[in-house]
Amino acid sequence: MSINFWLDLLILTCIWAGVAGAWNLLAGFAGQFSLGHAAFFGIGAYTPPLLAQALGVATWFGIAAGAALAAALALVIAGVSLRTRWPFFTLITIAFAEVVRILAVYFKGITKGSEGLMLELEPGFANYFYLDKWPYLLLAAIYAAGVIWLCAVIRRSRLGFRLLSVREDEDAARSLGVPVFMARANATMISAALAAMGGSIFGLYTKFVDPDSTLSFLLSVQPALITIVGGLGHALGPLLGAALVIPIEHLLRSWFGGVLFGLHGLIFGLALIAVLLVLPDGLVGGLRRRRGRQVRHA
Amino acid sequence: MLGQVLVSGILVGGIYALVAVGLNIVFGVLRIINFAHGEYLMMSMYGAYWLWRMGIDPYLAAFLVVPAMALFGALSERYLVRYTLAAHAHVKIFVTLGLSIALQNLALLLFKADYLNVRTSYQTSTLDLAGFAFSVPRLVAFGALLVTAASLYAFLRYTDFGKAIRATAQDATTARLMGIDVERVYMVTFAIGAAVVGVTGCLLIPIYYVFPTVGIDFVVVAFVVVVLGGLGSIPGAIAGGLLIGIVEQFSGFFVETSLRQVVYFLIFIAVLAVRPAGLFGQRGAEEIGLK
Amino acid sequence: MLRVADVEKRFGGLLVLSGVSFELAAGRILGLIGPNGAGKTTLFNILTGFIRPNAGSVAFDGTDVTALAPERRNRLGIARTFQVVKPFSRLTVLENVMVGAFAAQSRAGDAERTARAMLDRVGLGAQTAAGASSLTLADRKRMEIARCLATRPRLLLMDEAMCGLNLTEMQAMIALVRSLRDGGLTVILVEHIMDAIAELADEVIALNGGLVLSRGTPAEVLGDPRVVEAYLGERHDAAD
Repeated sequence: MSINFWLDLLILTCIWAGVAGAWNLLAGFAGQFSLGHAAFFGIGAYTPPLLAQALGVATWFGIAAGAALAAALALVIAGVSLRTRWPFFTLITIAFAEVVRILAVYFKGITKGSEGLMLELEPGFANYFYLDKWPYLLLAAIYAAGVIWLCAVIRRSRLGFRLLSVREDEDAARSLGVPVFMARANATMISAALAAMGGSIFGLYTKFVDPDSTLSFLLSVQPALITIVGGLGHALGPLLGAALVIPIEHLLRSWFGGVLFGLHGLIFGLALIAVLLVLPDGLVGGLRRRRGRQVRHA
Repeated sequence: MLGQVLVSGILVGGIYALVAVGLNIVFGVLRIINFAHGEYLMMSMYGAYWLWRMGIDPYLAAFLVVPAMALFGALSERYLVRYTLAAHAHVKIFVTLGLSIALQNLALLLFKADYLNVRTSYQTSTLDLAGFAFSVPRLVAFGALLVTAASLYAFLRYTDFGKAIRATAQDATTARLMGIDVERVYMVTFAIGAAVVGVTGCLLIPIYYVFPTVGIDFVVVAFVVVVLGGLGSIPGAIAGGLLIGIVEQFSGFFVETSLRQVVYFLIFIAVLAVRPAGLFGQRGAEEIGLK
Repeated sequence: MLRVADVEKRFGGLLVLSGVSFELAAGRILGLIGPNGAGKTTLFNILTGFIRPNAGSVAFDGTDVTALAPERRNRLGIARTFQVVKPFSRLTVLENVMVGAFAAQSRAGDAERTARAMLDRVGLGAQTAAGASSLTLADRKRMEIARCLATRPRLLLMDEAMCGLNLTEMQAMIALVRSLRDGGLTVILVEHIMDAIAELADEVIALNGGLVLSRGTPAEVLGDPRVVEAYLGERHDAAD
């Protein structure tokens, strides 16, 4: 297979490791299971080209604006779900993501609807527009490493402790002075902004943004699947998960995609079930347990 | 004109209510959201479709589809959902989601993405009552809703097994201490949920196309209905279904069709923001099954 | 330090607390007793902010806290333990206590130092790295106290701290609570075990049927015939 195939694989793995890391921050640390991250991803993908078209600003500005917009939406979601608990948070995120998707299809004048937007920008660093794949690998790798580093830092910070305590027992957390809403809202906003950046990089790389590839419900499931496979709540889980899930998905799609439509999704669904039943802590949890057992035997 | 919109809203709402009743009874008893519920509907519709191809009228097909779906529901509880009941929240959510994705794609693999529909003599006929036009298959569906809901309600209220189900819904641990076979209750509840959706599939196929992702359209509405009506409540699910049906028809009348869904998602979000336990739900009811 | 005035609470039509008023001076241990259903837990939850009263007020150090949420009250200096202990199960003992320390400190290093000090204080210094769910009940109760202490409280409310402990563990708990009081902390104990109340409390309030039945020193209240009758009545009911 050509070098481009492998580059493509690596870039997508990095992007999804980052997006899954963003999802993990909210689900793994705060115990809030979003099935609406496609909305943030899509906002991130659409904002840079739309701003470039409308105002002619550089891509970097668009990425920042997309992240800010996603964070703003996340704040609304956190506010709405303030008094609700599982499983309503999950349903609310689905509802918001659907609204964003429908609106993106509806406002054809801006988004070109389901037809999608082709990215045609001035090549160069300001727009991060290249014909080569290498610059995108660099950007995606920095993004993935950045997200994972940030998650590890947050895990050991005051915010991280607050999120974990809220996840474990909300009443106990409140009695210890943990501002539950603030902690959750912060986590939701950071998670949304990070997922949006992943969407921006994805859009830049594919040079094409449409509702199907950036806003569909399956894109909300994707980071969850990756994180669960890798290890929910572990900073490295999303990276491990992405390194396993994305290549398999890619290969399945390139082998069967054209012939057996649906096989790839069928395996995707069955794999999700299998991992949950066999390894509910994912690869990281499984590895740790194995190591623990060996230590105990020794 | 508005009266006619109201009539069709109520009839559409009947279908939503039926889908929601099945989802809600499972939630009420097992405290899980079955994301594959929409795919049960899709399977029922394909079942009714293929039986029609073999010469069986969709309404008669219900006598085969409903037991088959009940069996499938029981099996999916026994061999899948049961293993998630004691697990962490994420396992509960994502196992049925995985089942949903797998079933959708299995249908895609088997039947392609084509939109299939049946042709019956009655599907376009209408009945004129009090100056309003009633579509016959929708009227039949509405009648079936009332019959199904009433018999389910009576079953839960007056039979011993129905009482066992309600006891389990209130407090599974105590129910177990009282000698109720909770595992059997769970399995039967899942079977009932799937059977109700089996009825719905047969009623829906003369009105609607079937395709691999048809379940999503309905299950998403059913989530909204369940939230409006309150988790676990059958009358609530019916009231919520009718309300959403009416709202949908009216919003389709006032705003563009493609934005209909936005309207009820916004209602959904607004209801949850103001009344976290749903419009008719009891406060705190959503937390019962958590710990 | 704490002033409770005319607190009333109804659940639906049921009057759970009515006209409860008392004051508590700093540095003292107050025992809150009463038979099951007397309203102790409700009063406890009103003091800590988990339930809002229908009428009346709660003031802490001159600040009206009646409408404040639990997390805000904690920041003013009120901490609580739980009748059914609520550890953060998937965190270590140290991490559990660090959650408390982060209430007053923002840097992880400072929080960890505070947490270790508090764990030493309650005698769990050797188990910092253990998983919270692996501790015995007595140690989980100690961990909860360390977690509270890490938030730097001035008033500590303890819900059934002795419940489920064996005699040795109870003696250790009594010694710990006394040393906390001697360190300047004000303590409210909701307790069923009268020996502990008799040994620890500076003053006692007995509730029955949502009313303050008796108030005074442990000897006065525990010897009050009305209190004895309230408890005997309960025992009588239980025997039925």
